[in-house]
Amino acid sequence: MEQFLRELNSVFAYSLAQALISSFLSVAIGLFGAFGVIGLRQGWQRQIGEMLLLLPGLFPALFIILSTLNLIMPWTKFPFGIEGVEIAHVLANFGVVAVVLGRALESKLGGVIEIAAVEGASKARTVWQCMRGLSAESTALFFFLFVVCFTSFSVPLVLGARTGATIEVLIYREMLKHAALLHAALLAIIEAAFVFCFSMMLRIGFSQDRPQPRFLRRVFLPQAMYLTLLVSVLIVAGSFHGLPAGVKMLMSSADLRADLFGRFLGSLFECAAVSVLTGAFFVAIFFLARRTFFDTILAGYIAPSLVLTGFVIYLLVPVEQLSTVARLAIISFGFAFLILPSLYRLRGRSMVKSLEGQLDIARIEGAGHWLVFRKVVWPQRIHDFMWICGIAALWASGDFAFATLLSGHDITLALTAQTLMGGYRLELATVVTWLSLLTGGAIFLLCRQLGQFFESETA
Amino acid sequence: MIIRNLKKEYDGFQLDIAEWQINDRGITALSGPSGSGKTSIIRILLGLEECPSLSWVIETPEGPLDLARLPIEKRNLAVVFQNYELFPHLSAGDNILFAAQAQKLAKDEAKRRLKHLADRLGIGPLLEKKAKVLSGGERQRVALARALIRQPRFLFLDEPFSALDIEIRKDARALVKSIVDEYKTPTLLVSHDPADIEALASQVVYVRSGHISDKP
Repeated sequence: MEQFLRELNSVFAYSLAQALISSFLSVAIGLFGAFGVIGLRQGWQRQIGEMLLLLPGLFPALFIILSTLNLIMPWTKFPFGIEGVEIAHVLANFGVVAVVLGRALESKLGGVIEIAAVEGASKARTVWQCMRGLSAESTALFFFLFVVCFTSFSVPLVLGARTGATIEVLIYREMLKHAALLHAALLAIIEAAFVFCFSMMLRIGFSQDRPQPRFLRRVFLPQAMYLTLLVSVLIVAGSFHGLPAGVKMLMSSADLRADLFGRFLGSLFECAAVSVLTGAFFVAIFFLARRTFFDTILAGYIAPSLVLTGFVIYLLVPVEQLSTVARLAIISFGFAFLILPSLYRLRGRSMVKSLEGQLDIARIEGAGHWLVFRKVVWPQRIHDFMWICGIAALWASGDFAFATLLSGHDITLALTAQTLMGGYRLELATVVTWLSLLTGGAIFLLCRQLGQFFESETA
Repeated sequence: MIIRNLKKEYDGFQLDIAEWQINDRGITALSGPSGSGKTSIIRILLGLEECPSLSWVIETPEGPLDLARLPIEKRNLAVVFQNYELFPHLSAGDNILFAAQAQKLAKDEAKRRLKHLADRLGIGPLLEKKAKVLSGGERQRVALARALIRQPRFLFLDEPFSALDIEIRKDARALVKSIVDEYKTPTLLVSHDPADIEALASQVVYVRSGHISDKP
């Protein structure tokens, strides 16, 4: 027990420091980047720029881990531990911050920029005032990212070493080494309680005050645009590093190809199953979302502990006796359950809120759940439903952290990629990671197509 | 009908109505400045916001019935909100029939009522059009038809004319009055426009800082 408490103390301190530094740097760089994002012209230029910035945050952790390793390892020894985790977290999150704050800058601070222009304020002063004007959004993002980094599991599992562990990793170690469910549960409660303290703090409100583009130019910082886009391009390029060599290795070994084909099928199954289950969960959400407490739970920050969820399933279901397909089905169910709060925050909540008035009317008119769903929700939100299913598939394609708790051995491409990274076989890991992401990407595109098809059918 | 204990506390605001007697025929107007609690009263009475202490007793052929004890779907109330909240992807006709379907009205009866309302409100030519392409005045009439097709126990009109151009408000008021009179549906009109109240209401109640009174 004493050793456990010592370890908890040390992990808590490292975790806290890591989360504070990661979220602070992500917000600071992202805030600077926001003044570059607004320089991107609306249209294709803006879409490509934002996509580049959002990609590391939207793609599974596997992508950012691989990219970070590929960017650093060819030049110097990778700083495994707290620094390595911080680098990966910042690279994953600064782009999202830049895009969110860039949009907030456009929609919220038009009046300030116009008045500053009329009063003849210098560019530096106007930028400073805008930064202050974004303080509420920046603070909210800081707390949000703090929670994400504090509860992170995938990144510290691979890059964390001793000093980069989080409480999630400690739960994993406790369960793996000692099967200490009580310790693990205690850790999960401590983590949840800590996260709860921050749960009330994210309330971003964006006004609809759109400024004239010519006034926005007054606070546009070209350096910010070039720097943030350059880093994003490097992250994407880093994920391709070693790809030709990896492909060569793959092509020269028939056994390897045969092995990977089996794991590709595993990944395909997991992506498709997670996609379908997420769709089913969201249908259920629309039946239940009228209850405020349900919305509060899903939109809050206390996501279930990934590791604890995995081990509870492990203890409840005799996974070792199950076939690979059954194991994949259980992994898919658990993963879909775990990503639900994130997906709800990402798109689900706005789906519910945008139909609020119509749903009120339907209830007053006495319509039952099924009629409301069939006639009101489905025809109007089918596109969003399918987008969510697609994103769930994409995230599932990079899932190794949860799958590793229940799989027993490498049964998907993401698990294989993690094993290869652990052995520093980065070229092959790059190929496998991309195969994995392409599998998820294919399901994502399929979902989008289905969304368009259903939309045209119901129009 | 008598409403009792409509009490609810919001952030820095308290709604406190101990007893309120509303006419069970004609239009009662609820007037008051912005932020006085008008919309909160409607939302509580509709069941969209919880108010455990509320009692709203109406007389029915089977005896007194406390509407506040019924789930929202069973209260058989209707509302026309300020922005009408039509389902934009459905045609005007389907919007109206949705309400009939929700009440499991027989198809023939629903069609008969739809035809009557369409004739009375002059929306016959609009029935095939999607709600999203209708003008403000057209939407208002469709929303009114949707509210009345079920022949509700009580109708709420929440600032129903505020989204209309001033030139068409007069006609709209006359139409609403005549159809509400025809259907004999007791109605609560929420408005801060004296012209609405003068044209429609047979009784006026004023709300100020969460309390009601007969005097402005």
